[in-house]
Amino acid sequence: MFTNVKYILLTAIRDRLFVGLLFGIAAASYICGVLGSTAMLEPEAMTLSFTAATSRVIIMVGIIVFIGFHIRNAFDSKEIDVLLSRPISRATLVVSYWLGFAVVATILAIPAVAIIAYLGIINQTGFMVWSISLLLESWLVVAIALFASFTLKSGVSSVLSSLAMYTISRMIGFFLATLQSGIIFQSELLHQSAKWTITVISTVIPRLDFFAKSGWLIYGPKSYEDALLCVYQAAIFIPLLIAASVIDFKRKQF
Amino acid sequence: MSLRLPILMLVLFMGLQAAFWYHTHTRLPDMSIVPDVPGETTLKALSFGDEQALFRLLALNIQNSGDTFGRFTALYKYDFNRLYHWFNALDTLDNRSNYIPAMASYYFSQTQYAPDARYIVDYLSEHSKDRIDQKWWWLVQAVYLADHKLKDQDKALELANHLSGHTNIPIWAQQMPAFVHEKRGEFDAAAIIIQSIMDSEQELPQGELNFMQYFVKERIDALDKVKADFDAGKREEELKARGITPKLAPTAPPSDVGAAKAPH
Repeated sequence: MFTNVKYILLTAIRDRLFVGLLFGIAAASYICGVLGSTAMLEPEAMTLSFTAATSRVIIMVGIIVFIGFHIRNAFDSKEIDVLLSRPISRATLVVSYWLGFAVVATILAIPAVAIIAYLGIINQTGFMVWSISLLLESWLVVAIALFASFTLKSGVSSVLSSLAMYTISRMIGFFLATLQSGIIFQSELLHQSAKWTITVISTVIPRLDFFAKSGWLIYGPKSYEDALLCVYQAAIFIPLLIAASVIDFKRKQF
Repeated sequence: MSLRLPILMLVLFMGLQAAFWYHTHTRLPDMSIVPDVPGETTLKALSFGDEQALFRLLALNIQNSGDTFGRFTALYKYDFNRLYHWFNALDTLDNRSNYIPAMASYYFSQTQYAPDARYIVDYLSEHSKDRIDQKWWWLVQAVYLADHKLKDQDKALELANHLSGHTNIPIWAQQMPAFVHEKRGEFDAAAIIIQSIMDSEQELPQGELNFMQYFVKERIDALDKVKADFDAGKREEELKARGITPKLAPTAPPSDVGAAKAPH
């Protein structure tokens, strides 16, 4: 299991994932710093907010692309077959993959947190909560990308579907709010159908809008519940996706 | 293969490109000074769960609006109605930040077309009047703008009245309604407000107390003087009605001192 984790780390270093994303995060942070300094008031808040949001997007997209093509490459080059020829169960293999990618995600999150700390901590609690939630979000995205990579047969389609899932997960709170507040269609039948469809979809989509809010870095979380929601969501959805990946992988024929 | 067909196609499509350019070269990107205001729902959707980042991005966009693409636009050319709606829309993303009220009161209020300042006054008032303890500064700015930029003392007084009775804000801010009353010549109302601040249970520094005692005394003296003048005028009217001409004190210099005479 840990051999696979080490192997994933080695491939991440080989593919220059850490150097590439670190450079991306550093460059984005510099641009954010320049943009923030042009603000007529609260330049620190402006810089922090931009840096937090761009770093998060860079990390998540990097993870999704890396996992999507790594797993597809492992299938195409028969690496998976070799790994399964050893005394390791399919479930353990999937878990070891998640663990390996989660370690990669953790290493990627560290520079983002360090840069935010370097730029200046406005709210101590908010900074802690944001850092933890960024880590949890990256682990959840690892699970999403892993599930897509194991279930879909193309690297491109797994990357695109993971990105779509990430975007919808970030917007699902908005969709639910729309259901509560307004009329979507004039026709009552269509309206009720849309409401029902969105409600059903929302039950199987993680609420990523609870994670890594850059507002926390400035004002702190509104309440303990506000901060804990992301922990609960990660604790539920990561095992759920790993279980789904294991089920799919167990049914795969080689 | 002969080159004739590819060359023919190249010429044909170059001609089509030229025709396309002719029809589209006047269709330019929208360079309006203040961009269209998105709805609250659109803003929530565009935030992708991180409203703070979108708030900061759009706020910076509004700060730079009109001064992009190599342009520098005078403030009187801005659509202040749109700006007002932008400010309110951005408040739905983050109304704790002081960024938007600062931009409104320090920058956009400097418009050369003074009536546009009403939009700024309205925004600052809506932003702050329900949470005076945190946002009193912006209400003070609104009072100042209404009084000095708009010359609308009724509005200034209406806004300043929101500041009275809040003991967690500086004393000079609590005194704002008195200063507006004073400017309107309503000395009695001004004195009453200052007296009520003196009578409140908040701790007042000696300097403030001295000022307020002086303020109240001066207004009472002014009121007494007005009352005395009024009584004198009334008495004169009564004497006139009874046919008695009151002997008035001379106002001009004596005729034999060589002083210049007032023109008739």
